[in-house]
Amino acid sequence: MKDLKENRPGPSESDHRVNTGISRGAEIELIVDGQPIRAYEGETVAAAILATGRRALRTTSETGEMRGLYCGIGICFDCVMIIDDIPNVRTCQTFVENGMVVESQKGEGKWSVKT
Amino acid sequence: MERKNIKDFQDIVIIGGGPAGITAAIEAARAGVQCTLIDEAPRIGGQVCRQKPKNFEATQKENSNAEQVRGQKLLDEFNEIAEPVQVLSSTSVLNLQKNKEVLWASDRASGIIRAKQIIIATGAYERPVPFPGWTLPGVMTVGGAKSFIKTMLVKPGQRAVISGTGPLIVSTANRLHEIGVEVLAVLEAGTPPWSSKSFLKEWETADFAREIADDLRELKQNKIPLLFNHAVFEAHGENEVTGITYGPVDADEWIPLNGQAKKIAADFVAVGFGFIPNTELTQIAGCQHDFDPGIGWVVERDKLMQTSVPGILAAGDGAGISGAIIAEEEGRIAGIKAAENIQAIPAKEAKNRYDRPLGRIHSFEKFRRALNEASAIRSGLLQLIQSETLVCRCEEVAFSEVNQALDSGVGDLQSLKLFTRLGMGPCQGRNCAPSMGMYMCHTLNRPPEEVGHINPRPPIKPVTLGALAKMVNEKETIESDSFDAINKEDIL
Repeated sequence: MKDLKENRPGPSESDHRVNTGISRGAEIELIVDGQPIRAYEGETVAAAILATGRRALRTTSETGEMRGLYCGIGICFDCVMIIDDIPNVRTCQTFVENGMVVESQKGEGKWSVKT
Repeated sequence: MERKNIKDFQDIVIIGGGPAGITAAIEAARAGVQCTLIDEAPRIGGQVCRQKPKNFEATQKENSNAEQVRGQKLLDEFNEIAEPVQVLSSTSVLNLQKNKEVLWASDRASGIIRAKQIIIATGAYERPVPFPGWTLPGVMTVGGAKSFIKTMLVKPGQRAVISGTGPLIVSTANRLHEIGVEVLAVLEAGTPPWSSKSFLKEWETADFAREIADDLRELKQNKIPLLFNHAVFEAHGENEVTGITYGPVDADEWIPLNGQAKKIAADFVAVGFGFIPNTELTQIAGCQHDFDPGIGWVVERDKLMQTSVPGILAAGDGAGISGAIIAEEEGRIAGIKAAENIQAIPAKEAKNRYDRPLGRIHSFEKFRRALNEASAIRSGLLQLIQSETLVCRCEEVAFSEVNQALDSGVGDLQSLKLFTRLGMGPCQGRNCAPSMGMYMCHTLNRPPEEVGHINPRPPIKPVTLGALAKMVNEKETIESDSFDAINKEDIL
């Protein structure tokens, strides 16, 4: 299986947002695979991650190949990640929240059960 | 965030908040009935009128095209008239149960609404066309790419190639160019009439044709080459797209002419070969469907949008591919007819109200038919698929496994599913059944009625047990925008 961590944005990440003619919501921070990334209220998790230049979001359970944003409308389930301990969350349909913890999903993903 | 109670009983439940669902809700509200509009997206609008997030504001006047103007007009009308409509956003419908019970679920809660009439306006999704590398990050559907860049204003890549058929590939190329993505080429598999001057001249008074002409003009200004009878053959890359192979296809069947293929560096591919209606709910409801060779399975309706099941109406692209302008008119008719069916308005008044939208639909019919015929998928593209190409993205079923199943005597899609797991994943066969259905018809020489379809099964969208266990009724309040108020701890 490929290591998704290799795809993490480095500290000198470029920003793929378009900044002319638009003002976004408040700047917030997400933790993606342990690293803080910048995001703006109103963005989807997928948009905030793609804005760092990263496009592989998870690996599949059989072949371990990487997948990213594909249909963008919530149908294909290729963009799923683990968000705040819940796996299989569609990042194209989920808005960012400050302090949200997002992890690359490997295969089926793991649930963390709180006791 | 405001809190509200979700009503258990409604006169009309509308499923889908795109152009058809919005106009259906407007007409239902105008008729004074109790109505709920359920939409999967965080904000209504559908794919075509997709809105920017609430927190985003344009700081300079946007250069809006006809499509955006139309979308805004629709949302303005909705906001003005449909205030009494109960809108459930970020909410999926999982099942239509007997006696018109609509089972809905959000991230963290679920419930049942009992309806007298149901209008299904679930829209369409893009026809998946498998090719080597189509699962790589950096390959997106054209519509998905367009709505992503329009709402999020994030570049999904730097050097793009667009491949597919129909006017949407042209407008998507322009939107990518606008945000600073270098668009290397637009590859149109057909030689469509919509690109010819005489066709556009004939239809210049129609909104459709005007938008297409504007987009073609803009493409030219942007100096983006538009190649007819061309398609992407393969996307290359280890972890994401780094290059593509493209080339010409034959004009009749779109068979790839591999000898003339070229490889170029590109990191983004948007692919769109027309649309397929979302028929899961009309199928589950037991409505009759017909096979349209250019589209696929389409629900049967009378001209007032009524399906074969009394009290269930269907409007917009979920019931046949006609685009947003027709969808608006169909939604109006469905909303008016549903209101008439429950005696909220007399038949004569209903007729007064739906005559105009009916006339509009009629006037565009010939144009739409020409467009649909030009954009109908051709079987030659199936030759792009290699034995190791994953034809089912979810369950990772390779084309070779499909062929093995066919060799063992599998002759219909439902058996193929049981044999290979194709279609068993979370997308429920939406991304594999159309291409493999076509392949089976073609290879086995069987009609589509025999190859059939993958039967939708509730829940038609994945849902957590937690959300299902957290069934709410109208006595309980939940947050109206999303359902975050319900503690996560509740479901763990």
